[in-house]
Amino acid sequence: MGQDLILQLPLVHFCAGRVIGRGHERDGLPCQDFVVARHEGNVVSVALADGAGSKSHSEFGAKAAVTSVMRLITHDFSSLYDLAQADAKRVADHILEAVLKKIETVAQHHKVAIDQLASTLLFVALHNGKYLAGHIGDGVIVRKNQEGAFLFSEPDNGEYSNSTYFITDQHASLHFRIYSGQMQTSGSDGFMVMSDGAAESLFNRQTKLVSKAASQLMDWSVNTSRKQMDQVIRTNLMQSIRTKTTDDCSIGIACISVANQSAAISLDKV
Amino acid sequence: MDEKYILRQEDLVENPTARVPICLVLDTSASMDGSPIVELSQGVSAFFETIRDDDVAQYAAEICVVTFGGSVRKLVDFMSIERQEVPSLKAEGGTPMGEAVNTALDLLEQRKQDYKRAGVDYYQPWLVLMTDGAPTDDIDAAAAKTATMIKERKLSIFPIGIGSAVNMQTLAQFSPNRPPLRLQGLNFKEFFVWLSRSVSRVSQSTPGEEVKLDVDGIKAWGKI
Repeated sequence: MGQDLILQLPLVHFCAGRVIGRGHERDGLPCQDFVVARHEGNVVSVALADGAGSKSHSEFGAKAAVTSVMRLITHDFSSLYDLAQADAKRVADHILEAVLKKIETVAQHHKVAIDQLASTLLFVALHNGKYLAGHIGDGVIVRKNQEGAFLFSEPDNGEYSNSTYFITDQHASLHFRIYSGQMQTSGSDGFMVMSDGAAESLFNRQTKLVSKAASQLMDWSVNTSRKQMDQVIRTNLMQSIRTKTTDDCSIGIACISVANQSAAISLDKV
Repeated sequence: MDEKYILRQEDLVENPTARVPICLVLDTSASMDGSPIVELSQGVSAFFETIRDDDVAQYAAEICVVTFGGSVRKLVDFMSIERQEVPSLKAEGGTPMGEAVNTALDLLEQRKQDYKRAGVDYYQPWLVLMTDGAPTDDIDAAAAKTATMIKERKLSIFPIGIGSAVNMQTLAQFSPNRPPLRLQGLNFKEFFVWLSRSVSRVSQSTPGEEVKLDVDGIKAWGKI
């Protein structure tokens, strides 16, 4: 019985990486993608933001968006989840308010208007067998469970290839999609967030199918330490994925699996 | 890092390059006969060549050519630039500019629908209007339509006047935001090289990036 109990303990897996795009490298600009994955307070979470190309301080905006949403979904997961089940729009408004408050502070510090910190935002948080996710703008969220890897949240670009929606837009809440639901209780179940630069190689826009490569990265994340996976992501972004776009590329993964080997951190309730 | 953690190239996807549809609407009326039509032909040829030589633009740019000289003709339809032939231009007849612009707008719209059906991303369409005179048909409907589309960010227009007889006020009706430019002499080639570079810049732009035109480059071929 004791052994069975240990085998049933879920494990959490999380990793992330980003590389500067060839276009920004050529123009002497910073990487405007920002991504963080972490495990804190029994919540495993990942968030990614892609700063707007021509905005002067968008790399600061991306960082502010990611850090503020991570704080919120880690500390208030349960209340946000319950609210999302009843009224997802209110969750979108609440998160936007918190993110914009942080962005305003950063904008004041740099003495620029908040639209100069424009970015997209994608996040996923897992806790106690539940997930809460959000997405505004381009980039892709993929889910992989026993049914395989599939599109979870698609890019929202507007009509043109170089247009999208940002958290600083006047009507941002109309484009902020919030998702909530249950995780699978057997095998592994998790999410990958990716910026549009990475999606160029990992997501087929025509068929809306997820690449084998994305599925492979998620498999590796379940059986590899976080430190090694961070390196795996960075190496593959740099060697393969970055070569197919001029844009910055970033990926983050958060998932859980039922323990059948010692691979990560075990928790009582994840 | 362990080689087993290197992704295989065949496991990545190949998405089609996002397209920039461009329609050249060219005045080939009788008044263009002689040096202007020869220089215009050479300029269009230079445009095709420069796009073909650009690593990014050759896959992104899709060009269509409509002429108006006596009648309106679609000389080159949208397709991969590799398969396109540079059209030969002949000057004749009047200047049905309104009909030509309407034809170009219809072709751009049809191309956008093709992209949507095929799941291909695209940038804002471009319309380049070049003339040396005044229209011989009614342009009001065409001008109103382009003005509306520009205000709604559905079209970028480049109205270019050729020579001293061109009616710049007429051209301005098509372009509420950007004043028409007058070509210096017959610097068609310089204009089309500048245009191809602008296409290249747009085709490499990412979401949220506002592509600014190379204003200094305009000095090589144009003036307000």
